[in-house]
Amino acid sequence: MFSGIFIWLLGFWFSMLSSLAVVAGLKRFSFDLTWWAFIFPNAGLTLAAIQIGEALDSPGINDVTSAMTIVLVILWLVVAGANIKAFWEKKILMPGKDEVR
Amino acid sequence: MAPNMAKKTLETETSKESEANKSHDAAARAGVREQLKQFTWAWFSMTMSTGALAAVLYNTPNRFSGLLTIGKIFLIIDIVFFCLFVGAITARFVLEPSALPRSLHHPTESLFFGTFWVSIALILQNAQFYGHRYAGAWLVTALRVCFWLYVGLIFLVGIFQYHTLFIKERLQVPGMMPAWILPIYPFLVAGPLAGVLLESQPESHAISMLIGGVMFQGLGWMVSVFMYTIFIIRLMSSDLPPPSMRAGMYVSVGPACKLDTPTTTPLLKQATDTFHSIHFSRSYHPRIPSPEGPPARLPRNHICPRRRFAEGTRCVFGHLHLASGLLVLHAI
Repeated sequence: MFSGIFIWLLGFWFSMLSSLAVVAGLKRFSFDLTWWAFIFPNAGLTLAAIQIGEALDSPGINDVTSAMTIVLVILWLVVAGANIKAFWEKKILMPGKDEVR
Repeated sequence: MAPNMAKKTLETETSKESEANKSHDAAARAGVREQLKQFTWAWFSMTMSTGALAAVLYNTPNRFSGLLTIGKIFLIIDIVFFCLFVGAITARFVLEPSALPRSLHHPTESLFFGTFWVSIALILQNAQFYGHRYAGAWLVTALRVCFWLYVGLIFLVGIFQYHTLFIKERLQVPGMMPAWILPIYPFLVAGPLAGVLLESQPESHAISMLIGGVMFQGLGWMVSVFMYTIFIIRLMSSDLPPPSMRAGMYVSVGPACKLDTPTTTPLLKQATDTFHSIHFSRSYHPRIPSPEGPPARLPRNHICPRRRFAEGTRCVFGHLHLASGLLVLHAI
């Protein structure tokens, strides 16, 4: 359990670094399949925080992780929507658009 | 002079526009076959995200009655899309057989091959979460078989993928993305998967899963640390990635979070318990109580199976010592 507490902040630090980098470059970049990377690592972060909250039996941490879960679900809906929109407008999955060599 | 320049720029602009229109038309005319040929391994990051979200929803504290249902919906979406994507990528390789080897050593796409395997692991994990209450004993065996099959396959992937990248591509450090971790990422998920599955496994299988899980997490974590180093080198000595690729930086969050999940927690907890029982009691047979009672534990509002399992394997893990964990693995 202490290894969890030891390491969790590293994940959070990377998450904040990446968020800052994303926000700094937020000039309407178009949808890319890497947008899904907004979700799965942060889901891992939330899961790890839930484990910590359970081990420490802390209602405070539990509430924070519940909030993180809600944020994740909203993010998923946004990314899924953007994916469907890009698919519909034929911006991805088209010859020359993706990385297929 | 100036009007000529203006005219020229206007001309180039209109010609660019017509070119853009042409390519747009060409794209619009591309049929399903062409679309399928563009279906890269990266699409599996969608199933990966959905599976991860279903896992989070299962474990969220502060539950309300509809929560599990929402989680199940996500899981079903995940499985449906996974099957769809498997069909799509199979179709792509059937339509264009040369694409298979090419995709596996493409400098960016090949890395996403790992997302396919992580999606599988997450489906197995969610099957355990959402299914173990309803399905019968067959699920336990099925998951165990799938787990070991999975582990064997990702080991092959982990070796051959990096080997292929070493041979066929020259990836530069200034272009390093955390996606370089992705070939070993399945191992990072295999650890927690083992931790989740072992709770309902019979004891002998649970022990092997536990040992395996720790090993897989160790491998995944160490390689991730190496990649973290390269990533920091890249960030310090070179630019941030281009804005469209910055979402990919989030992959670096993955390994750090996977380390403190079900496998490490019970193992280390149990190792500390056993350590206490070696040093503070005469005998560490589980039935003979030690002089000052059971070692102090943090209160757990948690499931019995873990504790029972911990007690039961205290004999086997009699020598399991926190500082000499590796030594034990050799001994076993």
